[in-house]
Amino acid sequence: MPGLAQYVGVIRLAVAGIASQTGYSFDLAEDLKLAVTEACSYLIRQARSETALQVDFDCTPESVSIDVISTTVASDSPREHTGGVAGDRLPDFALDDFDVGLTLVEALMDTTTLSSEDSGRTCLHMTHALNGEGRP
Amino acid sequence: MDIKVNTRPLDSRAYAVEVQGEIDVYTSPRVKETINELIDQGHFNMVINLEGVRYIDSTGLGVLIGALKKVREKSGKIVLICTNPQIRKIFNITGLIKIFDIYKDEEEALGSFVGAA
Repeated sequence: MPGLAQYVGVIRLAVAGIASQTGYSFDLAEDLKLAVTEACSYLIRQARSETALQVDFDCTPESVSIDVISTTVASDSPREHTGGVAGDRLPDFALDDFDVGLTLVEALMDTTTLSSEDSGRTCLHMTHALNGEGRP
Repeated sequence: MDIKVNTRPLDSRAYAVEVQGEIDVYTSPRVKETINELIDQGHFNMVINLEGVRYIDSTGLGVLIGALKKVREKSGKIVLICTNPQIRKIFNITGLIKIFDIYKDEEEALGSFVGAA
């Protein structure tokens, strides 16, 4: 997906679909939707140029593992913060004093690891134990 | 991912802001814009009704916090209506449950504005 604000909702829909197909509880599905949304928003916010977002799921009977990856696709085109519902980027208001996105991810998931490479690839890896909740 | 934000005067004490849909990084600017319009018009007491909200993320919470800061500077108040357990859970995790007064319906929320005019 393009690393743009309007696609975050589409990713959230995909998460809901995967959670439904794998038989996760409503509560777990809602937690995964929020965690992935926050991860996407965080990576879009951090990006300094045009990015693409990739979300990988690894569902096993024991756990669900999710990688949300942002990759720089055009480092020579600085990102503009046009904002607004009609805009294609993040809103122009700052959340410097209330950026709780990652806090939410950490609260909802069992493990969270953020890694970044010089190439412009940043990955937020999250896992959640299923305790018999899923039937992949 | 559409969002609807409607406003209406409740009585002399407060304005209602009714939000329907999903409040996320894409739609939250519309909520912010509507609340800011009310503040610009001099309405500093608001009941924000989240009963029609299916989802809210940290960006949406940021909008609510920003609005609360603004109205408090004018001795105003913002209270919320929310019974959705998923959304209340987010307020709990973030600690915002201690910052916002959250009620189950409009009547109860309006009761918190006793003395305001």
